[in-house]
Amino acid sequence: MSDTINMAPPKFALRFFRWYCRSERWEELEGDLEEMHALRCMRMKSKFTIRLLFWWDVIKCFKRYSVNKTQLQMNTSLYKSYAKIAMRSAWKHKGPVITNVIGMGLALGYCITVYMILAYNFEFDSFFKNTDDIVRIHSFKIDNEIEKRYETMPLPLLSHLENDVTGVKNVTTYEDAIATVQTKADYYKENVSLASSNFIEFFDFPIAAGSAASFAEPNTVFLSKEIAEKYYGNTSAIGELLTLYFADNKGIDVQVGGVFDKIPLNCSFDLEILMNLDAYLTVRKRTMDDWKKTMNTAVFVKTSDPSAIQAALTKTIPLQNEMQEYWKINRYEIIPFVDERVADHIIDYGPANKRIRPQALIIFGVMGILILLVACFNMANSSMALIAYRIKEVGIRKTLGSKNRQIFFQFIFEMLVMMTLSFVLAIALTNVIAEQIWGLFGVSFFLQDISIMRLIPFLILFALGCTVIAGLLPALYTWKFQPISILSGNYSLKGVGLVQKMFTVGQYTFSIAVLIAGWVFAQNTDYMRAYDVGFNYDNMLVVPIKNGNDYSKLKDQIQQLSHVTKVVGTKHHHQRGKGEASVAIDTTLVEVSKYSIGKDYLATMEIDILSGRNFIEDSESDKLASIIINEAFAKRFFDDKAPISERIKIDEEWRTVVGVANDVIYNMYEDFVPRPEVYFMGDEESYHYLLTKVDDQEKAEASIKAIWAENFDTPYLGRWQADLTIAFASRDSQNLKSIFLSLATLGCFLCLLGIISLATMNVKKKTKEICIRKILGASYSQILMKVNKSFIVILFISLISGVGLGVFLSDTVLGLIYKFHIDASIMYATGIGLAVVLIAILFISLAVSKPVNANPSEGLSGND
Amino acid sequence: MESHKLGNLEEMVLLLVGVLYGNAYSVSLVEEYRKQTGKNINISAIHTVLYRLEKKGLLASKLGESQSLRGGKRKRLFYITAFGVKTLEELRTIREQLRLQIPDIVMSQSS
Repeated sequence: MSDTINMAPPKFALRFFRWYCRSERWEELEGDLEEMHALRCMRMKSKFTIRLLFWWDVIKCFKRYSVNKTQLQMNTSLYKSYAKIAMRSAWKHKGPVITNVIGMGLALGYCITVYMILAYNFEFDSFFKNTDDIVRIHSFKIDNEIEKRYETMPLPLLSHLENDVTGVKNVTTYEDAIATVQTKADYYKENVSLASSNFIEFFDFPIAAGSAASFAEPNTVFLSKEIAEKYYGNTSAIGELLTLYFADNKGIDVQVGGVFDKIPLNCSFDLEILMNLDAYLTVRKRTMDDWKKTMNTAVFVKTSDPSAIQAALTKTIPLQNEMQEYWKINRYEIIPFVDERVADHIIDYGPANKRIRPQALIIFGVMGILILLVACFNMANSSMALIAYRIKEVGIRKTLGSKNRQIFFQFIFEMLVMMTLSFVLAIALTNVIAEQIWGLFGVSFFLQDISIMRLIPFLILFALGCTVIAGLLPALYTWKFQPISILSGNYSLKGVGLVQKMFTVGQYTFSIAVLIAGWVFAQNTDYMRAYDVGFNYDNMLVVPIKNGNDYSKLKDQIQQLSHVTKVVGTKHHHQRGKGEASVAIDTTLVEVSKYSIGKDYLATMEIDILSGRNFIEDSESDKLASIIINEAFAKRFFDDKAPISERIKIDEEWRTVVGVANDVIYNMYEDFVPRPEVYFMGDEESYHYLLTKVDDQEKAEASIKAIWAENFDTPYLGRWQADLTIAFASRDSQNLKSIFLSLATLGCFLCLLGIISLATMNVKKKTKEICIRKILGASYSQILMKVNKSFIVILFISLISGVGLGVFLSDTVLGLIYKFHIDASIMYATGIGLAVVLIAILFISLAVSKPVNANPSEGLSGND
Repeated sequence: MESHKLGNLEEMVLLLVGVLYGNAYSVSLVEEYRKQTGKNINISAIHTVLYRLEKKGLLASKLGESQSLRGGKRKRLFYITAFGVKTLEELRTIREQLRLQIPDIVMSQSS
């Protein structure tokens, strides 16, 4: 018996048993349980199992033969009575209860969506298993004096990592691109990713059809499940042929080798169509080791020694900076593939690892909290207003022996019931709200895509938290009711005064702030659309072409179209490709952006020539020896000197400055400092883009498409310049405007409910006073003024704090996201606040008009 | 007899109470059940059956002595009543009669 475990039965299990067991059976049953426990202690070795089995026995013994019926019946009937009273009271006040549940449900639905947005980031890449030894490579580059983080590395260094660095087991690479995909039936614009042949096995992606090994075969692509369904429906995609057209418009024929199983959205890679990078480079007649035509791609390494990679890459920096003159790396960092340091994973650029930026999380988080507080305050206020109808019920229950604790529990219980209903509604609405919000950004992410194990505790804690915020005050309010004064009719229904007023002020402040933010975003969207970005992108169609031949084929035909006003060809085009040139200043070389353009390019783009002249058509000297610079170039290299006719050595050739063009802004997000840029006059043979200005977008594009189809077999890839320019900034601003405005509407709806409840309660408190005043001859407006006075004070305090918060919130949010944005105008903000206040006063007046207009004899008789 | 239907487990527990004459209480019945059938049973199942049989009048009970193993608590000892014995006898008779009616050819299949 030396192995015997000496252990008392679990205390809480025993306590539970004693709670439910009837007294006449207690001794024998507890004795049996303890004896079983003692026998197990002698026979078994695991304390945990012994405890577990004891708990199991206690739970199994909760049966008819052992349970204390009287106590059980009492408890059950008590809870039944709570539920019954709650249902009756809710039924009696259907209107306020339904509006409260709907309002709270919407606010909670939004909050759960915010949680999903947070979960998107903190569950990012949790889909991958066994990633402990995988690292990401981050390079840092100084751009406009700011160090920026890139999740990229030059391809030629890949073989060095693979072969020469200790601890490296495997290396893979990933790059994203956009291509037009030609199937048998149609053309589609898709994200096409390029990756090493070991990529699928490296990350162990789930495959629905085909085998991972086939990805190594030349010209093989893998499709996502969605894409395979989109192209081929229910038939197998394996072996199907596709043609991919990348930016240069040259087609690559590929064959489908496999289909991925479902891969979640919050994963580092966007695998709509995945192509073998080696095959891509072979078609392009390039190699991995070629520094001249290299790519910077995302690289992932399986290693046992990350520091060795860091050391090896640091050594290569001089070589790399020599080879990549225009992409000079400052340093490298090796980051675990998945880790808790979120800040390290927020990159400035990279084809993979596209997380939601923290600014967006802050904005959505703050909005979520504000709207939830508005909803909770509203619920608390309207519950207190409803209590006004139930004081006699509370009085009678207290007289019959209800304890304060029970009354308190009753009201908390009712709040919990309402909150549960709201949660059910919220969960039902979450995917609808999520679809709206995520849909604005062109993706879909639903409740079922996040971890249910994290969601459930969050929801439970959230429900309890909201119940406490919304239910505590009404429950405490009933606590202090005195039954004698209630029943004798001497009880004056006092508000909980300050706290309740603060709730209302808070509610209005937040709603006004959210409304102002929505309005400012709306204004900002308009501002961004009208902002002078240095060129005019209205009605401009950009069509990528292969060469000058294509241009000459299309030019004449397009020019004859009635809705086309201008046609111009160019090699480079803002945001669609540029070159780099080095300018010799004294003894140093400085890199600048180079645009090789057609003659009318600047005029068509409406980029103004600030001084000097434009290129002259067919002028050989302009082609060979002239240059137009931008303002940033002039400021940087010529200071106060007039640059016209100055000669500069650029790419080892001397050229004369003939004009200065204005700067072009094409990024409204960042602290954008225009780069020095130069324009060369290019040959027609080198043209890659055909630009047209039109006066009727729809008709002109239809005609241009028809001309394209007559001349070429390749797909038409034209895009409107507006979509390329500030499209993202403007679209985001538009999205934020929609989100803020819908939240503001919700906030105002909740506020109106709140103020009506409060006004009703106020009138209730003052019924007798109103009646006496009426009998004594007070007019309707005098009574209204008297009743509304306290609200007007509350509303004006809210106005001041709401306007302040709204202006601060809008400026902070806009400042966080955009470099170029409007400042919130205090005057307009006050106007919005005042409008809210006036609407609230109108609603209060409507709410109180009924009791004020009623017969005073009813109010005074006490039949309220 | 029809009015005193017994389930399998009830009959088994009734028999075991008889076997453990004088020391039949729930824990010893759990142990004996395991010994005789090779199967485990939860103590709560034994409790349920014991109290039911007592209610039917097939068993009688009284509190026994306390034990340190039981935390000083007394156990409830069960005895078969005369009615219980009679019921068991009746059950045995019926089973034997039925057994004798089975043709030999059926019984010889097992051998």
